[in-house]
Amino acid sequence: MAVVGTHSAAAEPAFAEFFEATHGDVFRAVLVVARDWHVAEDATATAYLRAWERWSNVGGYPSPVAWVIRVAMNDSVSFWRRARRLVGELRPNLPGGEPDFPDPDVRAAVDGLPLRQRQAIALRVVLGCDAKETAAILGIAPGTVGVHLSRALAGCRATLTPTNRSTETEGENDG
Amino acid sequence: MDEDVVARRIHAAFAAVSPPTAALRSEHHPRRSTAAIVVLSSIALFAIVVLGAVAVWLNSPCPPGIGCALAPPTLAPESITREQAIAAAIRQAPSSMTDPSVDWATAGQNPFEPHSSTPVWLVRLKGSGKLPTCAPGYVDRIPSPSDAPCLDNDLGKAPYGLVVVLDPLTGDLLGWGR
Repeated sequence: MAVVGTHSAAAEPAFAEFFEATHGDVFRAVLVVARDWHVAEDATATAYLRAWERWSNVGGYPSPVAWVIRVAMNDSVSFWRRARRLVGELRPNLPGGEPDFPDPDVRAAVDGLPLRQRQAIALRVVLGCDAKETAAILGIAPGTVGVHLSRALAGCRATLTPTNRSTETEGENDG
Repeated sequence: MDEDVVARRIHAAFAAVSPPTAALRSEHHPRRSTAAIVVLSSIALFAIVVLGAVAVWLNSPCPPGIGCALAPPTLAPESITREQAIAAAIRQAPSSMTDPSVDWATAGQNPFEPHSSTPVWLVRLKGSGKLPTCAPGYVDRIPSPSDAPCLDNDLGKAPYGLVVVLDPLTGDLLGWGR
């Protein structure tokens, strides 16, 4: 079965270059949204497969990576919702762990945010998109992106601050 | 710790994450049958990609990164133009909105169908009138096509306005975003 469609050999280097240049950042952004390594991996792979299948169109877009990010983020949410319906609250007990995260406190803080706030973190903080780019990808107003980002960072700060108390000045008290 | 520090810490943590490799994929546990096809396909794709990437990488002085050079998503070729979308938005603006003018217009994700990868036209109109302002907390929920139009202030820095969500092919009104 032809998974990769009927593209010419000439298309392969362009897609390969695109994949190599972007898949790391796409995976990291989707990981923020999905909150699950395996879901993020599956969603990222699926998005790139869809891009490859449509590369004659997607490759001509002004920003193919924006298309891949949107597809992967949407897929990660829908996959996660399907999985959550099936396994309920068993997720933490499922076999097959994920690689150690460099900063578990950050991971826990981000995982605790609502979906829109995680999307804002993924695009604005992890990928470095500006508000307008983020708004276009999420389909919301740039100002709304700012609101979500502000609340996300405030939420993370509130979660992370206690862990830093031992290394910060004793007089600090930001509530 | 201020929010800039938080943002830098988040960025640094996720930047240190190594994306999955072929080796990781081969260790993928078999608990999700729905994922198996994707994983096997990914491995096949990865083999193709590696072969192509080696050749490209050698000849590429600076492979493109995200950067973040993201442009708005691209609409289908048969979609209406930006000017047509703006005209449709103004035409379909609530009659109680006085003197609507365009703040911005862009192709973007359909706010009513967050899982869809098909973009729509989003046109933000500035204006005032007898429309109610959006209820507090509106930014925290996904809008519905049945929502009545309301004026937001776009984080308080822009004039009051609302986002008109339009069908990309016909320009028909899909609903009111914010």
